[in-house]
Amino acid sequence: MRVKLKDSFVSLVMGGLLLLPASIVSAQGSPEFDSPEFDSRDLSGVWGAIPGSGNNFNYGIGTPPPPLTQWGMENLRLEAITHAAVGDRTAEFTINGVPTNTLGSNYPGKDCEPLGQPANLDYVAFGPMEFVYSRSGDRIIQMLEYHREWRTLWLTDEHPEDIYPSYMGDSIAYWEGNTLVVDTTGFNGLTQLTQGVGHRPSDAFHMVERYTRVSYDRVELVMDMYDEKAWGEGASWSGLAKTFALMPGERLQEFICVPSEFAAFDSALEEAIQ
Amino acid sequence: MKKNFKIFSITLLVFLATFQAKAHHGYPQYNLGGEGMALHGKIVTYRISNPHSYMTLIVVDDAGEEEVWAIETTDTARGMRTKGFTPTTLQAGDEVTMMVAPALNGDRTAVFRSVELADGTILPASGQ
Repeated sequence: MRVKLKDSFVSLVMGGLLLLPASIVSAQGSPEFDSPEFDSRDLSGVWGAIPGSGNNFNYGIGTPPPPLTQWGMENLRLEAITHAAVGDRTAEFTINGVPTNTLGSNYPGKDCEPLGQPANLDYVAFGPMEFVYSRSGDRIIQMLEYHREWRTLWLTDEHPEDIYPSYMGDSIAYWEGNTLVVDTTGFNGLTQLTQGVGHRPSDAFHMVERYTRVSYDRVELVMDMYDEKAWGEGASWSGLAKTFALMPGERLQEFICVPSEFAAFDSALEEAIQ
Repeated sequence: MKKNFKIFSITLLVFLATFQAKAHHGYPQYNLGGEGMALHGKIVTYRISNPHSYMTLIVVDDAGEEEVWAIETTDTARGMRTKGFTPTTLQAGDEVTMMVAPALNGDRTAVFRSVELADGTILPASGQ
């Protein structure tokens, strides 16, 4: 009897040990099972594309931006872009008639230039992002591996009056329930809006991001964008959604786009041919 | 005359090859949806870099002439690491067989798919 009890106890312990890693795996893969406790207002950690779900890449697949205004056509439209058109990866033109898949033409970050926002959030599919909370409690830093860019999300409800236009814009953030709302304006308008969109933002571009930690290992992002110069008053590119997966133990890697890398490639090729 | 023609040909080759290499980060010129082709040759250059990594490869053609191929990957440095590549996975002089998606116009440029090393290892492993 004693032996049987001992055996049962050992089986119980062994079974528990076997179940432990299973619960960890399920917490990472399927949030509905045994999810570890988490603070909904804690977004810290490294977040990337959901494994096996495709690359979660382009906001615009299936949801093209509003058409450009006449002013936008004259001032913001790009001559041509590489990669695919919004809404249809095989399309030859964007909705504003910009040729796509044109070799040597524009794409976010071309020639190692900054991607800025919102483009870089599309590239989290290739290089994850990390939220870092400052000890001072007045800001959250969003680190983006792709092109090694970062932005400060100031925990306040008002932009400064003297915003200096920049690639990343000026971001303020506040909580609506358990959703972190990030409001960004003050862009310099020098970037391609994002992958597959054949124009730049104007200096009136304004975007609102809503990050919600819906489970231990998932953050959902919903974005609304406005640009009254580019798209007209009242027009918006809205409801653009992404889901990011927690990457436990992951570290951001060094991603520096170096123009001389390409020059070295050219030189190596020339030497090889000669 | 023959010498001038040779110099002209070499100059033209260098120009064309360089032009293609600088035509970085655009894939419409490649047959990405096709079966691909195998290139057997020796590594000249191998560089893990961002936003894409690249290699150059010397291949001996059917006529016994050496030709240089420029191979671009679609992966970032992170992507290459994930697929098992390190900075020393390939070294100049290594003999390899590479599966690539070649240029549609017949130029000696291609997009990288996989490589079989001299010891038989294939990277990236199937399924990656």
